[in-house]
Amino acid sequence: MFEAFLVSPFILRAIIAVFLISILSAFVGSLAIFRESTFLVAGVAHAALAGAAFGILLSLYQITPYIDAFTGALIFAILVALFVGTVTLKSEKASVDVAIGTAFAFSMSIAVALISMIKEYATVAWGLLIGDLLLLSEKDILYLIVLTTIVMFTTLIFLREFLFVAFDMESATAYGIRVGFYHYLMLLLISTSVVVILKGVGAILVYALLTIPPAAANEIGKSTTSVIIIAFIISLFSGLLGLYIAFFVDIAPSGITGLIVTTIYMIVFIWKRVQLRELKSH
Amino acid sequence: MYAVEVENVTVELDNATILDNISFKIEHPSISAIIGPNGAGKTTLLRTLLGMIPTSSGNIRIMGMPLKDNLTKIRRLIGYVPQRTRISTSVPLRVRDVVLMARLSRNGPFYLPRKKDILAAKQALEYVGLLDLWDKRFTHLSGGQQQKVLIARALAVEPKILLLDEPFTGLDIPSEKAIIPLLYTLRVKKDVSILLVTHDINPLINCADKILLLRRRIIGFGSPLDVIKEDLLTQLYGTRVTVVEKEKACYVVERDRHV
Repeated sequence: MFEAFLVSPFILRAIIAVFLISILSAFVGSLAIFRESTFLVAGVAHAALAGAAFGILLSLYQITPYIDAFTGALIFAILVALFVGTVTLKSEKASVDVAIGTAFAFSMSIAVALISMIKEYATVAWGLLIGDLLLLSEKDILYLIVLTTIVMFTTLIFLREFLFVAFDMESATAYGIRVGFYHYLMLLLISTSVVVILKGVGAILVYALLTIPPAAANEIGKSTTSVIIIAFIISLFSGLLGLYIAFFVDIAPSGITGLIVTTIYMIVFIWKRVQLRELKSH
Repeated sequence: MYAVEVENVTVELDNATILDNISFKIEHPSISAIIGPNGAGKTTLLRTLLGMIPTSSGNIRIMGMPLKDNLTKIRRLIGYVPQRTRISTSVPLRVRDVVLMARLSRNGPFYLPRKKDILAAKQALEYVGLLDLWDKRFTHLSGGQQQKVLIARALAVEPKILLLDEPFTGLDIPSEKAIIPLLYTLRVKKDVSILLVTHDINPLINCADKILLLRRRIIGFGSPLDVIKEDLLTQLYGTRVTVVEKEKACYVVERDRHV
C-alpha cells in the first residue's frame, strides 16, 4: 500500500510541494507571526484569487500576452500587500484592521465579478479557492523551487534586520535601519509566497498552512532559530500525514492538513497554558 | 561642550503645533530629565533629536554637529531606549539577540558578529547586572529586567548620549531604584550624557543635573532646585501641586499622590 503511495507521480510532486511549502511556512509564516501581520496572509490570498480571474480574463480575450492567472494573482497580491503595508506604517492598529478588511472585501468582490465573466474558465479560478496538492504540474513545482530558494536566502540574509523591525520599529529607525525598505521587503516575500502556494493549498487554507505552524512553534520555541525549525517540522509532518491520509480516504489533502495543524496548535496552546499555571502555582 | 543644543525649534504635526519655539542647551556629560504631562510633546522632542521628525523651524546641534547634515554620524553617537510598551512580544528573541541587534544592524546585513561585538554586549549586560540571562527569551523576563536589557542594548553601541523614553513606566519601586544609580554611574564613569523623558518627576529629583519642564513650550529649565517650584509645576501639570521636603529629599505631590 505504501509503495502504491510513493510510485504515483502526482504524489511525488505533492511530497516535493509539501517540503517546499514547509520551508515557506517556516521562514515567511514566521515573519508574518513576528510582524503580527498574519491577517495579511488571508487578505493577500483572496486578492490573488481576484488577480487570477483578472489574468484569465485578459488572456482569454488576448488583451495582453504577458498576463495569465499566475502573473495576475501575483500583481494583485503585491498591490494589496503594498496598500496594507503603507497603512500599517502610517496608522494605528485599528485602522490597519479596517484597511485589511476593506482590501479583503474589495478583492473578493472583484473576484466574484470577474469569475462570472469567464464562465467557461471559472473552474480554474475557483480551483484556487480550494487548491489541490495532487494537481500541481511540473511548472508549478518549478515555480515553487525557484521562489522558495529566493525567499529562504533573502530571509536568511536580512533576518537580523527583519527581526529588529518586527521587534522594535521605533528603535530600528533611531539606530539608522532603513525600516521602510525592510517592511516592504517582508510584505513582498509574504505576498509572493502566498501566490506561489495558492494552487496547492487554496486561498481558504493558505492562512492555516502558512501561519499556524510558526504560531504553534512560537509558543514553545526559545529563539527565532528554534521557532523556524519547529515550524518546519510541524508543517512537514502535517503536510505529509495529510497527504498520506488523503491518498487512502479520498479527501482534499489541504483540508486534512489544515485539520492536523490546527489540532497541533490547540494541543500546544493548552499544554503551554497548563505549564504556565503549574509554574505560577509553584 | 554641549551634548544637545536646541535653538528656537518648532515642530508641527498634522497642522498642530507640538513643540512651540523651544530652546535649551545640555552640557556633556550630564543627566537631564524632560518632564511634563501626557501630550506635552516629550516623546516628540526625543524623536526630533533622533532626526525621526523634521522641525518646522529652528536648529538642533548634537555634540556640536548640526543634526540635519550629520544624521548618520549623530545616530552612531546615540543609544536609544524606547517605551517598553512599544516593543513587540511576538518575536522570540533571546536576551543576547536584543543586546546585539542595534550594534550589529548598524554595520549592515552582511556584517557577522565578531569577538569585540560579543564582548561589548556581554559587558553592557554585566553593567546592568543581567549577564546570567544571556540565553533567556526576552519575553520571559520581568518588566524591570526587560527595561535593563533595553538599556544594555543602548550601551552596547557605546554611545556618547543615551536617550530614554519613559524608562520607569510599569516598573515597581525596586526596579525603578535599580535603574537610577545605573544612569548616575554611566554619567560619572563613562562620560555619557543622559536625556530621559518621564511624567514621574520624583525618581530623578536628586540625581538630575538639569530638568526641563515641557508643555509644548518650555515652562522651566534649570537645576532641580531652580525648577521644582510649586508655581512652575502647577503651570506644568495644570493642577495644583505641592512640594514636600523630607530628609533632604523633596517630593512632588498632588493631594495624596505623587505626580
